[in-house]
Amino acid sequence: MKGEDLLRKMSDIEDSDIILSETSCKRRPRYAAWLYAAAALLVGLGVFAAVRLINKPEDEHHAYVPTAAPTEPVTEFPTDVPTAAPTETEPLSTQATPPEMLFFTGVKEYREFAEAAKLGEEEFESFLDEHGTYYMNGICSKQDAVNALKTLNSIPTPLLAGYELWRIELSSYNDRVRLIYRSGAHYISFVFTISCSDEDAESVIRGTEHELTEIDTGDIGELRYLLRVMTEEGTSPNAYYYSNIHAHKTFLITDIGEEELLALLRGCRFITVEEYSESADR
Amino acid sequence: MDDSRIIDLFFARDERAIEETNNKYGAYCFTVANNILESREDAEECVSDTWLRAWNAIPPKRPAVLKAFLLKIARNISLDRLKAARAAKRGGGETELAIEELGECVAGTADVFGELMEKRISGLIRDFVHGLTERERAVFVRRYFFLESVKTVAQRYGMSEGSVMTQLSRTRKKLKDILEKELN
Repeated sequence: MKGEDLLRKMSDIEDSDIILSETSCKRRPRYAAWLYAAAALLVGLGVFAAVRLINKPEDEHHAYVPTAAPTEPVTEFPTDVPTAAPTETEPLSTQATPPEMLFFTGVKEYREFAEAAKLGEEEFESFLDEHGTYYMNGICSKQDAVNALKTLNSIPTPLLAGYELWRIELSSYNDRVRLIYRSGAHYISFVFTISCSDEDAESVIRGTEHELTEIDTGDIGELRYLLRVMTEEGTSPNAYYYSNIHAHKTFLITDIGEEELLALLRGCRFITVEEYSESADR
Repeated sequence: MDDSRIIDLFFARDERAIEETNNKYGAYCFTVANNILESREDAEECVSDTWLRAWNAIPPKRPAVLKAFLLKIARNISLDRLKAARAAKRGGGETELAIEELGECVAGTADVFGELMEKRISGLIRDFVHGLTERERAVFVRRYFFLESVKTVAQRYGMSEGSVMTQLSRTRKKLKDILEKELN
């Protein structure tokens, strides 16, 4: 048995123990003991002085102003306590049909798919068999492939300097195309709503419960608006934005800073996935 | 949306289940996957795969605690991916450390694995973690379930890094004793 096996076995711990680790309170910092001691001393002095004041003549009352004892703020974690018995993950059901999500890891896979869609029906079926139904999910026939390609190519595909289109996802079931770009350790993810919408920033702000801040995009005319989702500091390594690019409502997730993102968008061209893949070939 | 409603959507094969799950638990699952893989792109991919697995598992499964159920799936997918990455000699710094640390607990135990033994070990670990004090358990789970760094755990609980390491070391020693006693 190895450390790796033991680490994997940690997945079998009780659900309540996982949740508990989020509800445990912060321990008071070590200096808190000193703070408390100081506070207690001050309170003690205050009580002592107050007693003395009470017993002193009237003209000496101005000599003492009581000081409030300092209090330490205690940060609590959200109290997300489980209400039911623990459970375990079970083997996957083979009967259920997953939602229709088509994935391409990289432009090369997209090109292979696009080329296959030009083949005859039988050859295309062989292509599907070779690639399995998991990644070709939602594609049962050549016509499905043609439709998927048409949808993907209706989306404005950013050509971002220094970034590579690393993953393409088509989720027909929820009307989304996600394009993930990466450059070294950084990434930007664009989640486009396939159907078109001309909504403006104000209606987005009105329609969401998130706190949003409008970012001045200056000369980036391709963006109808750019709204940053305000998140609690330290809760996520990413920044989230809403935008509308070429009439497609867009959700952006990235780990780069706002200025860097704006600079990238400013220098960005929007083309089709097909054009992108051709430019990558060159 | 509350969890029971989300689970109902899964049972109704309503694809909004995935969107709602992503909205509510996407960041949690991403964090675990990112802690394990230390690659945001890979973590994003694992989160997508987590929703598909959840879709395949519910129904028939009706998770009692949806959040923990999803975290476990995300964790297992990420560990599988890490295994492949390790074979290709890349990635997984914090997880590598955790594996090394836990390796101390099993040094000298019998290298016997089988279905019964696997279940026994699962039970031992479950009971062991559940039997720890609240503080010990929280620190141990953050380090070895969520794969958080010692620094992050220390900040989370207002402890020094040294205290976290000392406490983890003591807890691992207890686990080692139990495993040695039970497995040898």
